[in-house]
Amino acid sequence: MMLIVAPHIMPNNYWLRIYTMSGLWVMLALGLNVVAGFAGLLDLAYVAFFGIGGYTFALLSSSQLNVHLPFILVLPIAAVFTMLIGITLGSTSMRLKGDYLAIVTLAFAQIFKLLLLNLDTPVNITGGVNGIFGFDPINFFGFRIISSVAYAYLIWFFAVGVTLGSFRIKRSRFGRGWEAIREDELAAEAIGVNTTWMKLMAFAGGAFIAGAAGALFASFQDSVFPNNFDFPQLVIVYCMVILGGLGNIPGVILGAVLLSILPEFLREYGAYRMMSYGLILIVLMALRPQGIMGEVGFLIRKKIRPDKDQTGRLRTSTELYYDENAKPLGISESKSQYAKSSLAVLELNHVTMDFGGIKAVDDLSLVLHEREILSVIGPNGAGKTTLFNLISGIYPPNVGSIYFEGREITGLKPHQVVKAGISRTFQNLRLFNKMSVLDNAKVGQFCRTSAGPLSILFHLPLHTKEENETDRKAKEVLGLFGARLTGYRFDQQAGFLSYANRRRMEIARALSTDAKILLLDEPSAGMNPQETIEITEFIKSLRDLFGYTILLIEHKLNVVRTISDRVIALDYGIKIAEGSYEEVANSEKVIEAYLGRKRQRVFS
Amino acid sequence: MEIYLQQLPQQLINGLTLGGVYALIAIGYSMVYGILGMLNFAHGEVYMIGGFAGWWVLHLLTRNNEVLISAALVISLMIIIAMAVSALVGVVAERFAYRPLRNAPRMNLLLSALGVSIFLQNLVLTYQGAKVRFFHIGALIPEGLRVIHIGPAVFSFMRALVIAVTFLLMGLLSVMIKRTKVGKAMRATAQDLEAASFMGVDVNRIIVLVFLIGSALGGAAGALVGLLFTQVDYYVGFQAGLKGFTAAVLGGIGNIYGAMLGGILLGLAEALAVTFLPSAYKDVVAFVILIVVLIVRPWGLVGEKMPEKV
Amino acid sequence: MKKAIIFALFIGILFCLTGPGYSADVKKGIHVGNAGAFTGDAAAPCMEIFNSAQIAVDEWNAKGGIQGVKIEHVMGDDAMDPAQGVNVAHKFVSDDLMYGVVGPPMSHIAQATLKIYGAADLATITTAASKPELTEQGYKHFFRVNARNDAHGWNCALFMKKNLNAKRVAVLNEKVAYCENMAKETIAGLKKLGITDIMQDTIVGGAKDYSAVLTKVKAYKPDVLFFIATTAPDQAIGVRQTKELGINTIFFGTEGARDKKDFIAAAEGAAEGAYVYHFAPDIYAISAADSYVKKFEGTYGTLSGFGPPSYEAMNILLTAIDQAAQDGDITRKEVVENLHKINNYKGILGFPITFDEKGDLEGGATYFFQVSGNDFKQITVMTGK
Repeated sequence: MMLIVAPHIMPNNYWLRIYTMSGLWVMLALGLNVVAGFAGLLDLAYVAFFGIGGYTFALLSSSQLNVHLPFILVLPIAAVFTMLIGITLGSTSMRLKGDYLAIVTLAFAQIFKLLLLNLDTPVNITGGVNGIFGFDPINFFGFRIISSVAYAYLIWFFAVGVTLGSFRIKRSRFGRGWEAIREDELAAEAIGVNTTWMKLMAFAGGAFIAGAAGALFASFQDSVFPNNFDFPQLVIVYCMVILGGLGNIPGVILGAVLLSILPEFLREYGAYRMMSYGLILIVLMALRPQGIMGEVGFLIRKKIRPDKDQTGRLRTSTELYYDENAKPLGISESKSQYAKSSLAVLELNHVTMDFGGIKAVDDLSLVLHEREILSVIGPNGAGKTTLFNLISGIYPPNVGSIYFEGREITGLKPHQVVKAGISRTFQNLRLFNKMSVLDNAKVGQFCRTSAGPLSILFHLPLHTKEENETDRKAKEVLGLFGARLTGYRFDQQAGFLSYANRRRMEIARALSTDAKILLLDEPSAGMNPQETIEITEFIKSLRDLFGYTILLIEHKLNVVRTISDRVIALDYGIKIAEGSYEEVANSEKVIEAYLGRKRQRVFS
Repeated sequence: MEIYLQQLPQQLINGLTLGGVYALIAIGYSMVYGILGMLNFAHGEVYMIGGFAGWWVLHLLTRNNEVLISAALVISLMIIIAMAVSALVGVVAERFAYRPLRNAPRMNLLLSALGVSIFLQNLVLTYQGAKVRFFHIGALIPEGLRVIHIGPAVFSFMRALVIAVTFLLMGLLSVMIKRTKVGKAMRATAQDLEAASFMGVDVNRIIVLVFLIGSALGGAAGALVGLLFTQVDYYVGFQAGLKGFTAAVLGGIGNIYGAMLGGILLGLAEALAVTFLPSAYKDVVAFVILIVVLIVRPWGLVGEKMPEKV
Repeated sequence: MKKAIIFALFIGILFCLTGPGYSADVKKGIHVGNAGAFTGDAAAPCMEIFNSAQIAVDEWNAKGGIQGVKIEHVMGDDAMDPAQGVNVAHKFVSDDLMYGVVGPPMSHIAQATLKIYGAADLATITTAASKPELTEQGYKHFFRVNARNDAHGWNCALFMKKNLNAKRVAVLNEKVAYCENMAKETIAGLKKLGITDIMQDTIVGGAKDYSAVLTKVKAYKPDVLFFIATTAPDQAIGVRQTKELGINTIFFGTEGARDKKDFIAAAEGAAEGAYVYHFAPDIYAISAADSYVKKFEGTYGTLSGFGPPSYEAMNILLTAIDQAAQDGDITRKEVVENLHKINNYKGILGFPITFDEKGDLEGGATYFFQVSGNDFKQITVMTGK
């Protein structure tokens, strides 16, 4: 309502323009927020995307090339064309990480600007330094947008659209996928998020919005010049997003509005204005690294006690958010037989992993049977974690092959391995610390869902169905851990959980991918004896009650003894023993590996 | 074709001088990145302030186009004071803008550096004005010595000086890093900041030292460029910073030999690009080279590939 | 939801924190604007424009202002960004006490803001925007005290042909609208005069090193090097490196180079014999300009070519406002009309100023100088013939 009235209560055209421009900045900042905020990618070509949109509009809607397409066509063309450029740039630079991505995109932005400046000879395309001006007025089915008020509506209409879209996408599998990537890219990939694809989607999404904003801006200014799309503009959008708080939508909007109004009060002071900008940036980064809104949001949240519900009633930790109709604790019906079988589900054939001369895993073959717990033991550096990395696809083996249920999975990417049905935990805890417990579990469902951006933005049935399913599954899996991970803890940040609960969360996250095989890397590390007994029981019940097949790395030998069906021992990447726990524990080679030569009966 | 060939010797000289300057700036970027993993956007301004400091020394020691003391002494003083002033600026920026953010996300650090850059640039604009300052080097070198003809090419005294000082400073730096205890501590800190601190390295001191050395070299570059191209103004930092940064990445950021190589290659590439293409495209060439190198060898020409730890 | 409403209200309030009243009474105050890039890499010439206009305003205020009202000179920094330039234009337009603007000095920003100032009848006098099309779009409010590129380009071509006997010309220009258009007009003129051996390339202004592109020029062996850059220091580097590289050619610089300190002195002898053109006679040779030059150099340091036209423009603007204020109130339309009526205004530029109906200077000429010793010697004046 405010937005509808606003253009009419603006005191004059100047403030009306600021109002309209701030709508445009909101749009731009939210677009950048998708790339930099949601997905955490340092995209410095963003301003070039803005420019590509602007110049696309300029070329298709003016006398420059004598092309006069209607706006209703040019706007989508500009947005989609920019998106395609974004995807092209993204796919060539996506394998670069962090700062390198920033550098390549910065170079791209510089090249873009130089081309704008120089593509007026030999053929005049961009108009060079003189830019392009005098565009066709926007015409929506006979309704012409010329007046400043009409532009204010038009631009804020899109700004509101982008805002709503941002909220929707944030609360979807996309939003969770991106957040997971931002928190820990490797863990995200290993839990089934197709990180390459998702990053590309973020790039494309940002470019799409920037392109559309560029077209709107060009029409609004009725001219485009290379200076419109230069480094200072990039800095301004970044400031808006970071001041507001990366990923925080209301914050980014506030940042955009503040930074488009504030300079107007300071325009008369020239260099002092820029100086104070610099100072504000430094001070703000030091005192409020999470952005202005990040801090405000934190204050608001603090008032609500996590152990109370909305009415102030104390929440019991046993109060689980169960769907009445959901089958309790049933992960999958097909796994309801508890008997072990001799069917091989995972096979490794002569697998070798060579790190520049050091063979972390050397010619290793092993077979994992359905509903079996196989423990891997061995001294530090024996290649146990490397084995997990090989199976889960983080490293492709140099030699050898890996089969899952008869299908070769050698060389698949981690998220494809997860999708096939193998998921893992990490020895050194790689939870998405800033995401809630529930969202951590929901990320696991990423590879089981397929809603695309359109389903999410328009809440099509596919999205709604999958969201409900994801929600149910995640709560179900967390429910396995009882009060530890349910009730008010659903909304708690994973990073605030106790150490043991974080270990449990790792397992819950792996379970939530609907995998058949779990690779558990030291699940009881750092736990006290009581907790260790509990987690041992739990792992056992995963096999006995739910039919999981489990490959376990464990140093606590009493755990290994209690639950293992079979044990293998590794040393220097070579399998030195295999068999029942007793057989392995009494093997000469194993004792040697742990303690050196000539020692008897260490394990009893 | 001939028209290109006859330019070539001169263009190589042009490229080499410019490349030396880029290399000096690049080292500052590279050292800071190597230790903190941070792109110090403010480094270009540190270079600019070095230029002003050098100008100020020359200005104070010149009366009516005559230097008050010997020219060699003036030049050394210019470089030394420029280094000192720049080092001070770098260290102060580290203390107040970067240290509080040591554990903050990368993007915050980047933004803080940007803040420092904007602040310094406009501070100079406010107190020094937008006017260009001139280095009246006529007082330093007699007319006859300014230009040396070598075949078809022309080599100026200042160019020789810049190249000599650049290589001298780079040589000193490598000796320091390779041979001294502090150098060892620096290398250790660059590899693993935490582990180095456990081994008794005073990490804060090393970081300050890195900013000090990096900024000092930037300052030296500022003064040398002043002597070479005879002008400095408050805006030179942006362009120079961008180029130095490109050079650092080209060679492999975090690696000082890479920075040296990257700088010189970049200078040569630009000079050659101007020879064969419209000169408006020389920066396009520079950035395309950068992108191609990064996509083929993301760790740069000299840098080492590091496998990610899981 | 509640949060959203509070949030929306907050933003709304931010927008409402403004709004001056409406009146045209002189006693309410008189504002004059100055639009330009006062930060960023063109700050040096733009600040000279601002400071010169400030001297004019101070002089008027010292004389008692207009109708006893002190004039307020408002800075509108656009940082060279057209979008911000439009913001500035709207800001000035919505200030009801704003009766005229000096600037914008850059052609692309002048273009982007033309419509806005035009719709509000707010007079603008630019001191540097020389793109010909600016005065060809039918706007009444737009004036310039500098000559158009097409006139200068033709005159420079003539000068090269007639006075410098050029047969082979190298044109280097900075990649900004002013220089780019100047190069285009000059090359068109040269071709018309039958000179076809022309090489053109660009320089990056402010980069401080042009030796690579000058080496290219050396290989081309031109008779004349026409070096088109905005500021004097850039031209000083150009002439200095031309000499250093031993290029045997006549150096011909543009308007910005007519600057004793930043061009002749800065080049330390390398500029001897070089030619430059300017749209006005030498400011130091004009006695009417003495007091202005003294004031400027006393407060702000050396003067280049950007200041005098700005001082002149502000004086003309204030004269027009003063005439409009005779009856106690002012309207912007009156100011525009008065500016059109300005006839043979004699200020400090050394030639009388009259605007034609498009807002261009009437009978603009190009003055050519040669560096001789520590001074410029006027060689000839071209008026297009």
